[in-house]
Amino acid sequence: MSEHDKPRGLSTNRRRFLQLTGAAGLGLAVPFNLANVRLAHAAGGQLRVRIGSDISILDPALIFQIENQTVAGHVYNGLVKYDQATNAIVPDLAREWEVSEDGKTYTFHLHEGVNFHKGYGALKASDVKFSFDRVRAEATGSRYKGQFSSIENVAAPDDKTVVITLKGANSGFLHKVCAFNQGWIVSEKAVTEKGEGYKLDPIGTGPFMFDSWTAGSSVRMVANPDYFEGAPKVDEVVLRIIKDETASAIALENGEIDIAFAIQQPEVIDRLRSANGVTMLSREANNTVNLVLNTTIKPMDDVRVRRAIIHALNRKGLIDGFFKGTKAEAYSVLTPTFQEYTENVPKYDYDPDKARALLKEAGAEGFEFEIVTVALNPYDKFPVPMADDLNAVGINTKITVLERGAYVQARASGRVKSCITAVVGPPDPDSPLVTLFSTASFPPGLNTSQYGEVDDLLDAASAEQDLEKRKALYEDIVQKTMEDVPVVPIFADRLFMAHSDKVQGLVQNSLFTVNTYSVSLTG
Amino acid sequence: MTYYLSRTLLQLAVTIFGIVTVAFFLMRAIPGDPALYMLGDFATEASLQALRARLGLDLPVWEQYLLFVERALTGDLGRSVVTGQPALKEMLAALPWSLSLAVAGLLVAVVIGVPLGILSAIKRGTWVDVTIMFIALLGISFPVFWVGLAAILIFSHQMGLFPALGASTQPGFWVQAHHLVLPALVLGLSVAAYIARLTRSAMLEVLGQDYIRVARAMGVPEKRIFFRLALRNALIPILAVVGVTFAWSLGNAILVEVVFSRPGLGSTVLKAILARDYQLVQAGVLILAAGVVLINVTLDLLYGVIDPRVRQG
Amino acid sequence: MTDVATDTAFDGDALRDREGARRRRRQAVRRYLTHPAFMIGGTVLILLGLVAIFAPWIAPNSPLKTNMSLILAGPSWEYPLGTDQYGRCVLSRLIFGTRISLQVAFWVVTISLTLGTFIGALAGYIGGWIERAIVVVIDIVLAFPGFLLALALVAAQGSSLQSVIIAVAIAYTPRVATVMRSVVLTIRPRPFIEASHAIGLGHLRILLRHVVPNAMAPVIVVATVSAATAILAEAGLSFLGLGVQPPTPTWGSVIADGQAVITTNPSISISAGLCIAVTVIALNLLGDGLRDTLDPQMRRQTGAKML
Repeated sequence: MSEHDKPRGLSTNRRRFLQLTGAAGLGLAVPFNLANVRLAHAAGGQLRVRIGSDISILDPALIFQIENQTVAGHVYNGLVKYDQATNAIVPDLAREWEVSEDGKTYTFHLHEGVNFHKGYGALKASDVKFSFDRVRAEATGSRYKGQFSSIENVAAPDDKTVVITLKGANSGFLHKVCAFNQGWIVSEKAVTEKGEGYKLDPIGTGPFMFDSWTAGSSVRMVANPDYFEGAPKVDEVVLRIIKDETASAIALENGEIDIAFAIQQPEVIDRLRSANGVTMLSREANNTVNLVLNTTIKPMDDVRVRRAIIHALNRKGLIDGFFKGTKAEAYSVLTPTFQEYTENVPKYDYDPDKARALLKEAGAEGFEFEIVTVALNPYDKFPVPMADDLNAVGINTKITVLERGAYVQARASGRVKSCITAVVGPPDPDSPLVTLFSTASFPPGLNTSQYGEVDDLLDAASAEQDLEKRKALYEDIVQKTMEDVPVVPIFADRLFMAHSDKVQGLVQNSLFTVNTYSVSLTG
Repeated sequence: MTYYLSRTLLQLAVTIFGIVTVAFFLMRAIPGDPALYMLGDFATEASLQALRARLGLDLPVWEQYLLFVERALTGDLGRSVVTGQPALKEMLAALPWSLSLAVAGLLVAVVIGVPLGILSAIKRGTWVDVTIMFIALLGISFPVFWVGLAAILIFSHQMGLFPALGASTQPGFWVQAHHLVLPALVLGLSVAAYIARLTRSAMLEVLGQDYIRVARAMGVPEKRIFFRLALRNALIPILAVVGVTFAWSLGNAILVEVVFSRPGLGSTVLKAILARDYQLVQAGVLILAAGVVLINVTLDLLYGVIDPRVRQG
Repeated sequence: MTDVATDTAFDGDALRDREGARRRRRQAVRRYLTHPAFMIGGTVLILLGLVAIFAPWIAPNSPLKTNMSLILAGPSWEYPLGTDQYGRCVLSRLIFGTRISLQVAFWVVTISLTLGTFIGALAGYIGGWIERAIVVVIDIVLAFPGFLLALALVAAQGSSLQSVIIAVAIAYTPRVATVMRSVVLTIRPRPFIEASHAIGLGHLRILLRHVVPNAMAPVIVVATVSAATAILAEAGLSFLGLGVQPPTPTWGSVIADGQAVITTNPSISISAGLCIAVTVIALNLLGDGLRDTLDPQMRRQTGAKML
């Protein structure tokens, strides 16, 4: 059964032999295989990438899910962007920018000669203003409105200059206008013209133009020959929707796809690592995956119970056992990819006895607990051993797996006892911290804990201009939240993707998306 | 005949209307707010209200229903709540995938199932019969998704004969046909098993009729009895069997589509159900159910053509 | 829309002949006992029932206990079929999975049989506009592929054992009702029913005393088939992640869990698939046996309806 136990050359030979004999035996198979080979050569410029689920909305104001963000990352640019490799903020549409003395005014100077796709004209400062104002407008119903809450005004004094005035100094502001989600710049003309249709007919300035979408099957993007940083090296990118990871792995080995994006299953990762002709990439993501405890529900309002829960969980065992080391330990909700990362926090070892003692002290032995999670790999899987750990110390734990819509609704109600939440996003400390711990993100926001002890610190940190002081403030926040543990960081996420040897120059980012601008195909 | 036809068509209209109604209220019964699904984690009450108003979700349910029926009559099945695309367009895009799978599957099923069923009936009680019926029993007893996984494991992973994906990103008839082989076989074989069993029953029943006995008694050769008398009269029940299995195989097709990562009506409806995409589910269910009804009506009319007695009945 | 009522299935007069009835009962028992399909199917099902009942004593380990240091272990004395990716005993999960599958089958059959028999008998016996209305509703529900309907219903109610049972039962009730109705239609004009009318028996009594018992035979055959379908449907829903909540052991979820490791540990998914297949085969054999034994002529009506 296990193909890769055998010497590889032999096995591929056998496969080819079977292919030939099988093909001859079936008669019909011969033209198919020939056709495949011929097409693969003729369309040498087609890059096929596996994604796990279908796309839905490509409008940056409404966008969510890594698959949509992956498409958008090819189609759009921002004023600035994260360097794929280093996460440093580097110029994108803005070739340079200045920040005023008081830190309240940002002036961006746009590149010359940047054009929108499909004849939608040159990029103008007014498009940037339109994009940002659109996200900020109540009527748009953007999920990222809050990200721009620090903006007072966006102005376009001329075609190539954008001036953004802030309500107060915000040292992390550049993160908000990075090429991701609300930071992506749309064409005013296209959005106005297309209306509802814009959701799946995006017009940007990026290296690839959106071409077509076959529901449930694939998304096609074609190279933008006039891209301002130079045309991409492949002619087109086809994102192929393959839900099952094992099927993706087989397809990658069979040469049916070139890149298998977002592989989660440890066994599939293992298998692809040792597969011939396949390279496995991995990178720390910017997020942890957390168990969020609702502090408004008894007995989780008691910090001793919350500490009992974190002591009861064998997080190391989960990472080494279930995940086979494909994830990393997390000491707080900030991962090492953040500049503000710190390990100087209260730590909680796996200690069932201590957990039992804490529960006894709090008089909460044998309470009924529920973990609400979403039906996506691996979120519907790793809670299984967690529940077992909790049951072992006498916390009666039930798992409820909900499909995405129902899950979001249950979480937004603020009435779940606990839920699994990951804040996937840029390496902006505000992204996980404000989202998880600010009173501004009480349900329907993601602060399902309804924990509100660090608001002042959060405000102070984002207003602080001095980098060292700012870092210290964030450390205070992280320490305080780990002291009170409204949120249990379960593991630091890692993103895996595999590609065939045909693929050259793929750089993995930490945003949980894949960008193929740098990729070329050989052979 | 005109009466028969118009009665059947009226029945068809009533049934389709009923299907629309059931589909509509079924989806409304599902808890979950599409507005919240779209805005998700960062939804504010105000933005939710705005979106609900835009989608017409703030109207009373019966008003939404009337609006839906009114639009449906003009061929407008609304827009996908999530993508904003016309629901009908999204479903029609999936239709060719489903049709090709259904046709290929049915072809496999009929080509394998009917002859085996007939053979089994001819050889009734012999080891041939027992073997065929046992294989058919196996065919209906394994979950279709399990057979699909096994097929991928053996024919794609081990042998490398066929792709693991049930659809190609390349255009071209032969490429697509190559990708269709495994899904069609998996779907077709499960249906073939049913068809074989039911064909056998139908044949046996015809063979038990008086005129066959008379023919035998008169010394008509067995071959002639089978192919001239029995097979012709077994045609209606066999057709009925194919019709019934068609509706049933649409359910199995969802699982086949999922296993082989193949687009199609079934998986699109599944996706829509999970995303609480009301409009899309309605459109999809309507098309699927209408397909089943159409097949049944066609068969009914066909019986009428073949056998005049049905028309009076 | 496609019911073809057949005739001459039951001999009403003979039923009142007690002597004959007793003799026929003895013959029937003998027929059952000598029918290989019936015997094999029945025996396997009884064994499965015993496994389900005595699961806690038979299973070598807890089906829920995870073990992070024993993940995907091969077969051993302690874990005869090895462990899954949570370090749980696969055999124990399969043994406990029997409970879920049989429960689903049992309740689906009970619910759809009760409802379907009632609705079908009502329609067939009363006739008139009530029958027409019922037939239209049944046609509408039948136009939905059963699995799709179950899927939508489970999504509506949230996944749990209960909603799986209800969803599958609702999806398959109209099928029972259709068979029941067509059977009743064939008995209604029979002389003994008319005679009962003539001597002034009430409708309900006629329905319960004469129509239902006579129609039970084909309906029982349909029941075995819907039990098989219910087990397959549950497995399909579990496979799509819409079945019973984890970590409850079900055969469908064992296949789904095993799918992730199918290239390295295919035995997990294969063994669960075999469990399903064996049960479904047993149910079908039982159904075939019942059909042959109860009445050879029923074949056609139940045959065409059993889907």
